[in-house]
Amino acid sequence: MVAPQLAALVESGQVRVEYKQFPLNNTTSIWAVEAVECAADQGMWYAMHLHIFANQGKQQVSTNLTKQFAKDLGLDTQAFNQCVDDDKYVSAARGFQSEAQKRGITGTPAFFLNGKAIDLGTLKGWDDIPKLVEQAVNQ
Amino acid sequence: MSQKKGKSSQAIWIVAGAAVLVVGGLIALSQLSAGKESAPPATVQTGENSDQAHNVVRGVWGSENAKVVLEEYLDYG
Repeated sequence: MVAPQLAALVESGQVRVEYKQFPLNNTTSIWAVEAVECAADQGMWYAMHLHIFANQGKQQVSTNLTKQFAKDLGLDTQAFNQCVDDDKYVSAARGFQSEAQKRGITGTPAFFLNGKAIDLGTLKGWDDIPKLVEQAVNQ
Repeated sequence: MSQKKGKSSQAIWIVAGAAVLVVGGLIALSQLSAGKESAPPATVQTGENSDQAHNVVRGVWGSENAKVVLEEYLDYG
């Protein structure tokens, strides 16, 4: 996640960061997408996004886990659980998969700058991404 | 004759009253079941952890008119 380093540029109105999901598998990735989208219904996309990343690798994502996250974050759990149980965003998640595949993405993270894919092989480190963004702003 | 008429008018009122009760009950039941199917939308939060506080709308952070757009694809699974 490089976006926090871009905060000043975003706040100045020169840069927009779009987090897009590419669920790489059909179970845990989809449940995680559902979790952030159901949280977004309550204006808590960002909080859920950070919470899932903070817990990545600690526990495997499941609907029970994301329901617990919703509770941890103080969401309306009844509405959140219903959203998850209704699979409200499963088709959206499949749409995200197709969209990413159509753009030729095969793994994550993947970055596009003004619509052009950033070749991660040319980067020395993740800090190069804010530098590329700065260069694009100054062009 | 008038006693007969009185009885039949009483019966009409009873039937009409029962019909009103049945219709009212059916309306109440349909409203209850509609309420079960679609819960009221959850309140959108505005506290310090909220999207509003971070100026994020469903994963999009920043101005619509920004000169530079950085897209990041991620997978949580």
